[in-house]
Amino acid sequence: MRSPITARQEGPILFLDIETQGSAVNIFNKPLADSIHRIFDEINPSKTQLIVFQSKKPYSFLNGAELILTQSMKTLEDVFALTSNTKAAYEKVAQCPIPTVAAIEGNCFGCGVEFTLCCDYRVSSDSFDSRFYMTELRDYCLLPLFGSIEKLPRLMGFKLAIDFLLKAEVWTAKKAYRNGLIDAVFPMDRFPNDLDDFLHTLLNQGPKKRNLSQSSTSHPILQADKSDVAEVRDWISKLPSDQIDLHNLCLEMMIKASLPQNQSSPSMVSEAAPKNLLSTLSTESSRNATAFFFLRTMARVANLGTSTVAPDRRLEIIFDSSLAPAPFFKILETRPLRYLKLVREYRLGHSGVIQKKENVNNPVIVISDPKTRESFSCRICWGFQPNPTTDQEMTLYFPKGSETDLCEVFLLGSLSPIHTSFLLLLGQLGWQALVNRDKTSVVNPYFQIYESNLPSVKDASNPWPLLYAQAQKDLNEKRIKHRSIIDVLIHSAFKFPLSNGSFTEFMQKQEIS
Amino acid sequence: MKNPDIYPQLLKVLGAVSPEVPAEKIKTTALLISDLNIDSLKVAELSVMLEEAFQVPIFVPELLTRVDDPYRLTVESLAALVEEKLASGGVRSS
Repeated sequence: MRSPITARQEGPILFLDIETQGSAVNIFNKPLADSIHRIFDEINPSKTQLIVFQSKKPYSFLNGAELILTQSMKTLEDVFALTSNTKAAYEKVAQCPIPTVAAIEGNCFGCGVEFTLCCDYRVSSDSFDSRFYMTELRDYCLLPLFGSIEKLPRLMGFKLAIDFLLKAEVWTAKKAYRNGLIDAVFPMDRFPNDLDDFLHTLLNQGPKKRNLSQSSTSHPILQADKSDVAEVRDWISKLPSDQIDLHNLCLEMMIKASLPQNQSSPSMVSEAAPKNLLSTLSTESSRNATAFFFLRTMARVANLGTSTVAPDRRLEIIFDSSLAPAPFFKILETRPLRYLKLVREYRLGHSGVIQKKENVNNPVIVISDPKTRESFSCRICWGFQPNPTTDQEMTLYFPKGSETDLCEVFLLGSLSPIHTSFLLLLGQLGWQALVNRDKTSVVNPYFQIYESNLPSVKDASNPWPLLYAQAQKDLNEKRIKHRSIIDVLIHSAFKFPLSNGSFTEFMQKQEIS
Repeated sequence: MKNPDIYPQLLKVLGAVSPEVPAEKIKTTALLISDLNIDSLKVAELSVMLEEAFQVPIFVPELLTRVDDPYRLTVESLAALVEEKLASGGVRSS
């Protein structure tokens, strides 16, 4: 199999292009770790003054490490056995005498962020698919293992490190730059040129090693302020009860990491990391949360026929220029993607569809592949309706507010490859597609049930059994293809706790007991 | 292996989940992670496709919780899981 890293020497710069083989996204797996060891053991310092990591996968810089391995970790020995190679590879990058740059295009999640913290410099494209997110606490109820706890406070200060790691905020590249996580952000269309300028400026100035593990936290602003800590403890106290211990443990580690050098050492935090990870792995909430990651992917497979998160082609969205102020296009403008082009046309010459003024909130767009010349029309609507309009090849129903990231999809015919590519692209823009092969909404009944049983409503009941009854009906009648779709719907729309895992399994166990 | 009929269907599903792997390498002794590139995304895809193929709930990540070294899981290990689920008549646990 091909190496996951392609090395190319351009003058004094060694470019290392990452491409995890056989995966939709870049994962820091064993082959990648082995490649890092091999390459870094062979680097010639007389030839190389700078090392630059880039990704060859669209939409992904590094999406994490091998999550499936956590399923097998039961003892400290298991943790060491399954993570030591990766940890050593990270250390090799951090300790390399030649300065390193992470040139980030595509998402950077969890262990991927931690990898970039081993680099001396981090720069990113401002495309919407270049986002930064620590997945461990929110998505998996786990503590991170590869250095973020001790490095983030030293890099950004305690308060911002709390926002990013503990509170698991998702940061765009611009926000990551403002908050000090990265050193520069470049417009996506100019990324190659701006990166080139940045690298040559570094070479001219003499790039420096900046080892985060050893950087000082003596500056007051970087340390944990008493009022900041109190505020975080208060925030933690309001979390679900099964989340409190995990977040308190993370907070304690971060406080230790932000102490001045003479009061703590990063190695104290780092040495405790495997034991802390194991303690969190063994909790039911972590097992359920990790299982939910798999369920979410199963739902995507059931909906779209693929586990991949990344579209396989460049697409264009063509729309009438007079509709530019419409909410959908305003959202698209704030979420620019590298492989998506917005094309404004007067009166939609391509399809000949003349837009009436009253369609401004429910516009028709054309999605086109400029390479293959395939295209289809799609209507955008807001608010899940029991009897939706389906007058175009595809109709999308988005929620009215931000109550959920689900988007219900209606098709006049069958799901084609270009449809799938577009729906995956919607995933990159932040929406999960629920493909409905029926004529009536499957999502709307769940909202009706839930809203009729809110605590404020007279004679309200616990909505979960009622939602489960609806789910069983939909599964039996095959209106919903797979139980994982229900799990994702209930979690996304009604915030069924991640730490409870699968909604359908949870309710099935309740019924049995 | 009580039910060798599982294999043809299982190998077909694995071929669909990992199309980049040459067909001749998809055999009973192949390692799921190292040889067949089964990662966190593909393990979910595998679950759905195995359920469709065998008409019984199958949650492949469950297999990973049963071993100390997931790198040693093979196609044969997966077949044993499928056989177990078929025998239990579809009572899913994860």
